[in-house]
Amino acid sequence: MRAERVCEHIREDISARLDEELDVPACAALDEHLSNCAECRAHERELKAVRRALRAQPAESVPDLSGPILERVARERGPVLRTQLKIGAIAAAAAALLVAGIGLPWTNPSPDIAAADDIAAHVRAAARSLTSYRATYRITERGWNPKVDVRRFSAEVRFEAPEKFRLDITDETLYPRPGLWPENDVELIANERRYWIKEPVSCPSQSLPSCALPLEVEQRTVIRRQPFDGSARVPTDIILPLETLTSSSGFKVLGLEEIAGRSAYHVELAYRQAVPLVTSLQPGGSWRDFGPFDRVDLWIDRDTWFPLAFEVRSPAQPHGEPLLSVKATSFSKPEAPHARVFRAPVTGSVRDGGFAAEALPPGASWVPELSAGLDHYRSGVVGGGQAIRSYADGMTWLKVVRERPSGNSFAYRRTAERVLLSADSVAYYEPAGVSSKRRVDLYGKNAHVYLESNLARARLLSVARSIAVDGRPIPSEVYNEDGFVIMRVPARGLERIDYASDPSYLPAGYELSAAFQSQGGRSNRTLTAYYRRLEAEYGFGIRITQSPSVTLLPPAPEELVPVDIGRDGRWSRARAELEWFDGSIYRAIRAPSLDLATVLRIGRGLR
Amino acid sequence: MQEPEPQIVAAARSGDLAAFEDLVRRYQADVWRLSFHLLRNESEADDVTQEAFVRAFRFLRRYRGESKFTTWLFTITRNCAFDEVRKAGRRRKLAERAGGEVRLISGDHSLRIEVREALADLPLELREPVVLIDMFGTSYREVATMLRLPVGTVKSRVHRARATLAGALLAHEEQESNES
Repeated sequence: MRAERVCEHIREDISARLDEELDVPACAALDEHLSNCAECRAHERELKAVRRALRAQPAESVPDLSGPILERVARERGPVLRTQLKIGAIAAAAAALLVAGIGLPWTNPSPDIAAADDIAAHVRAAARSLTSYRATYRITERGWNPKVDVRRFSAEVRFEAPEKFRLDITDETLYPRPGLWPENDVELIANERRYWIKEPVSCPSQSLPSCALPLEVEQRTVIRRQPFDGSARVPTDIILPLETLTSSSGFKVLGLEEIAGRSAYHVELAYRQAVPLVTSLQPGGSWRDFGPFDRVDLWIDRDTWFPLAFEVRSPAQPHGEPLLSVKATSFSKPEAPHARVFRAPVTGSVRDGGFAAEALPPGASWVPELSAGLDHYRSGVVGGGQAIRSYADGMTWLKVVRERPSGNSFAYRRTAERVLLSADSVAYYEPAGVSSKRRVDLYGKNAHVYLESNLARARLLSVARSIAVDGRPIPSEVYNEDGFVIMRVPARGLERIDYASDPSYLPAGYELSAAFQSQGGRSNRTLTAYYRRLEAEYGFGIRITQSPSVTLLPPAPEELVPVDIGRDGRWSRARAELEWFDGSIYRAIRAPSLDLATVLRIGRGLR
Repeated sequence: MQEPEPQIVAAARSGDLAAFEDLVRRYQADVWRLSFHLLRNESEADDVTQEAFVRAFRFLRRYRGESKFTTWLFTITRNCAFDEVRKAGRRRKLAERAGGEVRLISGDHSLRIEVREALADLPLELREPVVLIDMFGTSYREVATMLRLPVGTVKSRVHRARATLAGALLAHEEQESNES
């Protein structure tokens, strides 16, 4: 693509972002481009000015035409059919459904305090041996809408390893005017073949109740579902907080406490680390948002490692009422759940996953020799030339996919971490994200093989190492047009870039995932490095930009806070970016899920 | 734009004239402004506004809430505007029409007047999406439904509209600074 065409495309994105019509990955790509293209930055300012001017247009003086309109309408009106809207008084019924609380946990200081690593290891082991589960919960949520103080729900979860899952959420809220508010009832049923969800569709909660999208219920089905299909996945962290605990480095263990008559470990972590747990009961419907620093308190049963309760609070009100509180009211491991519990209907919009079961030859070069102790589960093919082999043990799973190598260089997962598997084989690893699990890509000569799993990184890489396909490095040249070149820089090559400093401090768990140097063109030399947490990154991670060629801080329309970073710096809350000049070198750190104090500490460590 | 309460729409659907009057009072200004930006003529905008509400009342029974009420009402308004052009026997595209009368507006910040003039000069295919999005806060998806276009086309037309307006404003500024 020529540079102008790249810019033309990018400029449409600039315009769309002004309208909040651009998704997050595209926003990140756009920021990337803007940081290197002064012309597009200028274009953004012009578009903003135009948009402001259009929006600031005073209203025209509009004539009142209601008289003539109603006269004409009355003339041609048919017989009057008045229907009274019946808004039943369901308040009493709903009140009767509210059940008494379990009571708050009380602290019971005990010498028997497990280390965080021990708890994570126990949860991993429990996830392997769990074959079935059934539990009921009570959910209390505050701050969803200013007109609704509290919403209350009951939920039931049923699971049969590895892929059968059912969630039923019943809204028991007393809405101020029943009938105007969407009842947030959600049903989700998944089995090996299908995924089905039923949820209310409505306006954003802030625009309720005056928004008049009809209170409708939407149903979606996926048939011929691929094993562990990421786009129709089941939220199992409510059963065992495997993803939440194995991927968070350094959650705090506050002690052993008693809750609902059972011994439970009290664990504290930030929302940004607990996303899979907190969102596990919210696969559909409308729920309040949380900030990355909101505090999550979790109580895990000491015998079964099931989560008994969790609460989310704003860090500004650490002792206030929780924004979200989830408490188990019963749980069990049923011997044989009824098969029909997991029978999923085919209704609403239907998507075909295209998976057809097929016995694949086990000796193929792309099939791993080791499978981390997981048993072969199901195999098959998908229309577009994909072969899939999957493995499972309890809740733990692994999927290996082989497809034809794509001729398109855009198919490479460029920001993935490069990992040397052997002297002849290179793989590209990505941590789990909001909608994907950990992933390893091998770009072989004749096949592209990738693995996806909820195994921890080290185990997943050892599986990848046992695949007889040599992964080849992806080309380091990312872009080259009109003398402007972007190259991927290997980790050890960073030292050779004289203007760049390595961060001597990064928050626990963050590692370099990829770095790029651009050269030529207006911005001359710029190094951009991405740091992410190794096991899971539910946000953007950390981006550090350094350049000897930027001589002035780029103008920014948003509010900027002056900060002292040993030198004068500025902090943009909107972009979550700290910028300053270190002598003649421009440096910037963007980290939306870290607080300013932490970002400053990273900045001071860049020497 | 705010959506009406569902009970009001339901009552109007069942023939309740008082409920329909509510809807007229609430949305007539928006319908008029959209007509005006499409036709650039005040008296035609008056006619189209009346016709659009009469049709809305007639067709309200068929409105099942598949789209937002305002999206539905705007779609009717557009159809009426295009009918108005055809009725007048003018085969030319709306886009080619010379600029109509511009009603005086209060608060005469020059940029605003410039923008309005530049907007009137935009071809219809660019003017319509940018008016819907910037003056009525309509989402890309709603505009796509209304204009029967892919969302990607809406995105690119809005951008082209804004870029053209930016160019026109810049040219105007230069002209002014040369003159002064």
